[in-house]
Amino acid sequence: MAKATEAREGVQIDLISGERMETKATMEKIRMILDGVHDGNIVILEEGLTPDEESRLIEVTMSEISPDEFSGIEIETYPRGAAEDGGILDRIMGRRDGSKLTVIGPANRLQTLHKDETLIKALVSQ
Amino acid sequence: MGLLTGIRSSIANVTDRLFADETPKRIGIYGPPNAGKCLAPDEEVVLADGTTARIESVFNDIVASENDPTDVSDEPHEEWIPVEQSDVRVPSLRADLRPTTGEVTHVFRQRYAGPLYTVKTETGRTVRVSPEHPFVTGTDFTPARDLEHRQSIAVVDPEPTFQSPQPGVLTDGGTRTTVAPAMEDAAVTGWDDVASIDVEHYSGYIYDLTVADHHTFTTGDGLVVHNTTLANRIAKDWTGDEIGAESHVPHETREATRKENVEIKRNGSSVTIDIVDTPGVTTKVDYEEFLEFDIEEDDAIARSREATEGVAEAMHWLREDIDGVIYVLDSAQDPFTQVNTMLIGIIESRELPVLIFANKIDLDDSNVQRISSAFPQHETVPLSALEGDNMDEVYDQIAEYFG
Repeated sequence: MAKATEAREGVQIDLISGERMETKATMEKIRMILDGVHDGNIVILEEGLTPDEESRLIEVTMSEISPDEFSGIEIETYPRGAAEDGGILDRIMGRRDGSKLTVIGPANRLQTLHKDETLIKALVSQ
Repeated sequence: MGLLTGIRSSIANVTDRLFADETPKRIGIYGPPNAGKCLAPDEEVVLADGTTARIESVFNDIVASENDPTDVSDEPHEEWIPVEQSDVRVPSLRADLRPTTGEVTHVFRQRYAGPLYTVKTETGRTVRVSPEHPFVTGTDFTPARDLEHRQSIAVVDPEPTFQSPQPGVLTDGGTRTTVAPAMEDAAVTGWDDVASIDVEHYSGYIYDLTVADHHTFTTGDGLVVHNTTLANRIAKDWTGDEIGAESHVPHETREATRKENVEIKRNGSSVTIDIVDTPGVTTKVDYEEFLEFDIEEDDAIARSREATEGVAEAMHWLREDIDGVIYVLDSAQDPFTQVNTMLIGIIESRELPVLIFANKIDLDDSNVQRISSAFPQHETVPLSALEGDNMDEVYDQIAEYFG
C-alpha cells in the first residue's frame, strides 16, 4: 500500500470513525492504527483512545521499532481537560475521559509544529 | 474539578493508609533519569576547622550525634539523614568561585555496586567517586565519567586556606555563615589538570553530603566537588541533562531500575518507599540519534533496542506495579507535549496519587506557573534538583502523598 501511495505522490489519510472503533478490542484498535502507520499513512481517530489503550499503544509501538524500518509514531491529541471540561461526569460514571480527535503517523513523516490547550499544528511530509 | 479530584485523592490516601501492609509503596519516577553522585567511604573531606575526616566517619558521627539517632549499622538501603542537631560546616565555593563555608544539611549513604572512577590530577591529587559525581570545571560542573584528560578542575589548598577557626572567621551562632576576611578577595585557589581516570568495579557503601547554599565541598586532597541533590538521592536522577547538557546522550538510562526501601525522614517519623526509576517515555526511538554522539552504529542500534524495551517496561510498571507517581517536568520546557498529556492521562485513569515536580527552577527561562496551569488538577512542587532548592517541600510532599 505504501508503494501505491508513494506512486501517487501523496500521503494517505485514514479517517476512522468512532463507530468503527467502538466494537473493537484494544489490540484490534492498536493493530489497525499501527498497520496504517507502518504503511506510511496518517491515521485520524474521530474519538481517540482511552488512557489504557494509549499506554498499550506506546508499549506495542516500542516492540515494533526496528532500525532503518520503523522509528515509532508521532501522536497528537488535545491536553486532557483543557479543550473540554465534560470529563468529570464521565469519570464519576466510570466512563473514559471524553472523546478527542487523535492524529497518529509515522515519526519520520508527521512532525508537531505547535501544541497548546486548543490548537495543534503539524507538518506531514512524504 | 479540583475539589472532586482532591476528594478522590484524599479517599485514596486514607484507604492506602488503612490497608497498608509492611510492604513499602512503589513510587514510579517518570522523567529524565540519571544516576547517584557519591564518594567512596575512605575519601576524606575537609571540614571548616581545617581538619579532614573520612566521609564515612562524617556520616556516622552525624548520625550518632543527632537526638534521635538512626540505627544504620546494618541497613542496606539508601538513607538521607537530615542534620538537625549537629553543626557541621565545610569549605565551599560560591557561584563566583570564591571560597566560603557552607552548612551540611544532610548526609547520605547508599549501597552501591558499579564502577567507581579514580580521578588523579597532574599534581597527584586523587579522589574515588561514582561516575556521576560532578567536579567544578570553570563555572559549571562535569561528572567524573565526562571528564577529559588535561581538563582543569577546581582545587583549593586545605592546609593554608582552611586553618583552625580564628576570631571572626566562621559563624555567628550557627545561623549565618560569614566568609573569612582573608578569603573574601580570593578567587578559587587554583586549577589542576586531570592526569588520569581509572575505572574499577566497586561494591559497598558510597557517601555524600548536602551543603546548604553553595553545594560544593572539598576532598582531603583539595579537589572541589559538587554535592548531590536531594532528589538525586531518592530517585536516580532528576537533574537530567543539566550537567553537561551538550554531551548528554538521549536515552542514557534505558531500563527501569528499582531501589528498595528508600527511607525518608520527616519531622521525627520516617517514610519508606520503593522507587522505580524509569527511562524517559517516548513514542519514537531512532538509533541515528545516537550516531550524533560519536557512538558506533552497532552500539547505537543496541542502545535503541534497549531504549525501546525500557519504555515498554516503564509502561508496564505504570499499568501493573506502581502505587504512586512522581512526574518530573523540566520547568524551562513547554509542558504541552503529547507524552506529558498521555502519561498524566494514564496516571489519572489508574487513580494513582501523583505529584508533579517542576524541576530546574534555577534556569532563567524556568516557568513553574506554566506547568501549574497545564496540570491544575495536581499538586506542583517547584524545585531545582541540581541546586537543591526547595527540597524541604519536596520531602514534605513525598511524605504526605506517599507516606
